[in-house]
Amino acid sequence: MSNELDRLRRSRPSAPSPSRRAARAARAILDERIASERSAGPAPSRARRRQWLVPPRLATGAWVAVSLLVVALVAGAFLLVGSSQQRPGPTDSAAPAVVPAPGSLKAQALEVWAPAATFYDSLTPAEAMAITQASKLTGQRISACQAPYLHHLDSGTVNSDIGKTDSIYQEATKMETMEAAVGIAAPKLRVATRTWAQLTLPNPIMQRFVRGLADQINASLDAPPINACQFVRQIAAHDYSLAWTQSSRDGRVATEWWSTVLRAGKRQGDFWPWLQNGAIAREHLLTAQQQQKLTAVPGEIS
Amino acid sequence: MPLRDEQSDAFVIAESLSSPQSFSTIFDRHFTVIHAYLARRVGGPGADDLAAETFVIAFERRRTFSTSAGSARPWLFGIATNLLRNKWRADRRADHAVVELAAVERERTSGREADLEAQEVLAAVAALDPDQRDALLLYAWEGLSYEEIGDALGVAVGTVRSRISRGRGRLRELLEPPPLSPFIAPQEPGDGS
Repeated sequence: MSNELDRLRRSRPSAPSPSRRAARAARAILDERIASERSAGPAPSRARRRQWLVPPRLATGAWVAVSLLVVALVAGAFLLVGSSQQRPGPTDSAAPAVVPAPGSLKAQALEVWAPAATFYDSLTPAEAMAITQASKLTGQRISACQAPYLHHLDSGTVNSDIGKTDSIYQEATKMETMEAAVGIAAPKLRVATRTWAQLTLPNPIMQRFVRGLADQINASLDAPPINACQFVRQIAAHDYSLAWTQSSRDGRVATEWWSTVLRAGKRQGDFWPWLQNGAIAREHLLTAQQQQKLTAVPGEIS
Repeated sequence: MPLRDEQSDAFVIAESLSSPQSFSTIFDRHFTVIHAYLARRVGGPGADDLAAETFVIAFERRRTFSTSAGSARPWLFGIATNLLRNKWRADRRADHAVVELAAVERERTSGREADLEAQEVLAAVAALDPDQRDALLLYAWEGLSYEEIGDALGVAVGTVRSRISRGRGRLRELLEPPPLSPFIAPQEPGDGS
């Protein structure tokens, strides 16, 4: 039978090979970045990386200009500070080299970042490793135990009864995965969510973001335990009944958790485009690593 | 000592922490595949810039690469997919990228029945939820396993399965529209409705 997956595979567009010129240009951009790290050390910000999308020759000129400017600024700072022996730290440092003006966007962004920094700093190496592995291991376990039931769960359209049953079950799998991740360092995570929930930021987008972030993580911290393997077996035992699935304890809990997570996600929705892709990109407010780590806080579904 | 080509991506990336130039090997191994993926999603010219940026970001984030992973390919697919998302957010027109690709295919191969089918499928793919579309295309077009897609997108295998399953369901609905209204369709004998 020719199903939608076969049709999709047959429709795979033939991709043009990269031209030699494009491959050379891409390699030159990478080589330039490698060379800059070897000579300068710290990684440049995302905002600076944008200039690499201009032709390499122009990028080289811009890079030289920026380098000269940085050298001049560093030299000026040393002259002003006088006896300071410290070199400027990496751009991802939680403590900025220059303290931003109170109430400025930069200062507010650092308030957004601070609870995450405290959380990551408080983790033991074992906790950090366990968090990294938690989602993966839970996912593998669920994948194994749900295997006998997948064929049936996948047999209907999204709006059919079996499709709706599958959706509720899927929410349970996500919930258990997220609970596994947040459970490892729950008390430390609660400190972060409490701080985010209590922040008062003048910028409405950042304010909504921190509240949404706290609500989303708290949804998983506060949710009752769920066992997706047990749930899928019960669904099968009840002949995949949508009515039973909807009214079951696990079905109700998972549906409520997912709607809370989605509501919280909507409150965060404006933040990333505003930070990265607005008419005036504000990527400079948080470093690339800070942005990456903010989206990786356990319980955050970005 | 083994030649560089025989070394795993994880080894090369670990080596690049102290010797950044080693990272060029990752570029040499995977650039063509990542470029092809991006070209399928946004067309050739757009893919050039995005592929270049993928490797710059990968280089900057190489400390986050899990040394337990053998190949860097899923990781690079993940970075490329995030860039596509950012591009989509920045430029609303790009959410029709697949449709634009379909138009390119139409021009290239006009008239053939198989190509008409491809246009229909690509238009349906463009209508999918972005999460479902990313997972489905990595699976069907790029041949990644569920686990590799999970690594690429930073989600659990169960979530990948869910996205692909839902994406397939939605695709099926889009490709197989509901039957015609009874006011238009001829009724079956004995159909009392």
